[in-house]
Amino acid sequence: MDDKALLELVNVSVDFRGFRAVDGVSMSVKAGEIRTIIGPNGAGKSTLIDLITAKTKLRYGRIFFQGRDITNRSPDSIARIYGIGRKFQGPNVFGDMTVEENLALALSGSRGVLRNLLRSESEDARGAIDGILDTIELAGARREMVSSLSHGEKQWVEIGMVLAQDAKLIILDEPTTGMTADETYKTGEMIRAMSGDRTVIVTEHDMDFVRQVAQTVTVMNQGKILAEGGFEEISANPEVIRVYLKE
Amino acid sequence: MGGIKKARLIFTRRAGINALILAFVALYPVAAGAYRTDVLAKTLALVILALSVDLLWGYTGILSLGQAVPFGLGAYIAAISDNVSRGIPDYMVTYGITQLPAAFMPLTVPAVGVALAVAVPAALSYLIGRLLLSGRVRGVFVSLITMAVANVATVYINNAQKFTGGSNGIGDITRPAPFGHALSIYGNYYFVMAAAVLAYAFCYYIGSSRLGRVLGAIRANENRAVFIGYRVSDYKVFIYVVSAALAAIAGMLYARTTGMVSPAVTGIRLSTLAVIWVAVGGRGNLTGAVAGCLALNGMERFAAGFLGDAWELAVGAILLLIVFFMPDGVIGAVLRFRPLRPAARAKGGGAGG
Ligand SMILES: Nc1ncnc2c1ncn2[C@@H]1O[C@H](COP(=O)(O)OP(=O)(O)O)[C@@H](O)[C@H]1O
Ligand SMILES: [Mg+2]
Repeated sequence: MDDKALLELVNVSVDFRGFRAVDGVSMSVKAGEIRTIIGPNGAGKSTLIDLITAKTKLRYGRIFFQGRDITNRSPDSIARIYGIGRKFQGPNVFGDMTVEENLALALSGSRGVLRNLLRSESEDARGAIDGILDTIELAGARREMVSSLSHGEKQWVEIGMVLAQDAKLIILDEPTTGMTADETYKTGEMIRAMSGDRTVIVTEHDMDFVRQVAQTVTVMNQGKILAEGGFEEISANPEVIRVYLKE
Repeated sequence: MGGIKKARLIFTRRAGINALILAFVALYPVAAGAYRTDVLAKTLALVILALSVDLLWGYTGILSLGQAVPFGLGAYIAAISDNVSRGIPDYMVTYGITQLPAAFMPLTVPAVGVALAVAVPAALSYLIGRLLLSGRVRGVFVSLITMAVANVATVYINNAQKFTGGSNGIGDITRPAPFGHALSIYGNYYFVMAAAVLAYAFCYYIGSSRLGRVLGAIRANENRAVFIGYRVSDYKVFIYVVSAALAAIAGMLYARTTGMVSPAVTGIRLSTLAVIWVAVGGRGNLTGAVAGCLALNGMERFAAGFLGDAWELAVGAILLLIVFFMPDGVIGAVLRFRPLRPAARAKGGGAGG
């Protein structure tokens, strides 16, 4: 095991009724890096994220986070105790609440029932929310209902929620779907800004975006890791070109 | 329209409706006379039951079809406590009990009776909640199981005749005696009204706390709440128990207002009715629960006289109409109604996008 790894997947697999969606994946992500996972539709990217965040139970293999075995812990403890935050593919937000309320819900702090009973909504650290609103460029929409926002803005709200969680590891599943080229670029800059003290894993389709943010790129195909390396190296890899870039 | 501006409008309207209801209820005895005042006191106890349904269903999205179980248990424990505090009740004597069973001794102390009338249903709900709400059982199955529990409770109370009076129930229950001697009809009315106001304030507080926000998040998108780190089952069990305690208080007040209890108070029918009051009034805003309960019970008084059993059909028809045309209930529709600027309703209107 790599000592410096923040997240370490060891030979991870899962079957859905005999279909192996993730097949013997081993992967190691260093603290502070931005890792991009690319691959054709159905390659198993989202399923891999489901395994890391315990949305799906792992059948084979183990997952370590900061050297601790987190295999098959409950999803809420993965988020609360270990600090792994996740943005789902396609925005998954609280549409009937305002932008500010979405962030307040995600804001780090006590998740206990009684503590929250005795805490009023307005006592939440406004400063933290203000900072996040600036980062996701939605300061002007803080009191809008999230359901009234555009698709791209909803994506940003969800990125903001993950930031509010103060996660050590942030996993973003296709954060730029439905965004204009301009919004996609801004999202790339957001991700670059949030890495460093945090570690980011992001799955993506847009190769310009990958070029913008990537340090290490992992290419998945049919549940397996096909290649891993820097952007230039990956984009020159003939097999990657064959299964993915040419498609 | 901004979320905050809309929230303020809803707040003002709700405060207005609440003030009207409160004024009506507070002044009702002046015009109504003793009998009708006593009838409305009974309905005010049911208002607390409706509020408990709203905590669970409106706030959190858990639809229990067995909310009469904690209500009925509260009512029965209050009834037994009241009776045994004055010796061995007649119905027990009928079944050959000459000495009070040890388990009933604590109930002879009125204060202990009150505490147990709340604590026992709350504890039972904790056990049921832990089994039912910890993730394995979902959606409609939760409702079905709570309904089965209500059925079991009714059967059990029917069969445990020695202690519950069986299908005859328990009568001869005195009104509450918070100051040492039993209250008059009017005193009891205002006592129950004060309890209902406190229950409303309590539910309102929960709704405005950060806990209330988390409950709303669980209702709207449970999965998302899990992945930002909330242990959802803790929240569900907590509100399930709090709601049961509130229902038990309602049951206790109901028993001591009506002076008698029968197995129906734990049953599926009352459980379902309580859900209908909230659905018709509108869930999630408390005022809907209060108004729905008062209006449907009031209409029942009025209509049952000439409709007879057809009243039940009428309730079904009202429910269907509301569900189809006002999914947020009557109060929900009133709170959200916007006569001006229909264009603002268009999607994305006024948003920053
Ligand atoms: N819960 C599930 N049940 C059955 N099949 C699934 C499930 N989740 C994903 N799959 C399948 O696993 C494969 C990988 O899907 P996914 O991880 O969503 O791919 P990607 O995110 O790379 O597009 C797909 O063939 C998909 O149909
Ligand atoms: Mg995917």
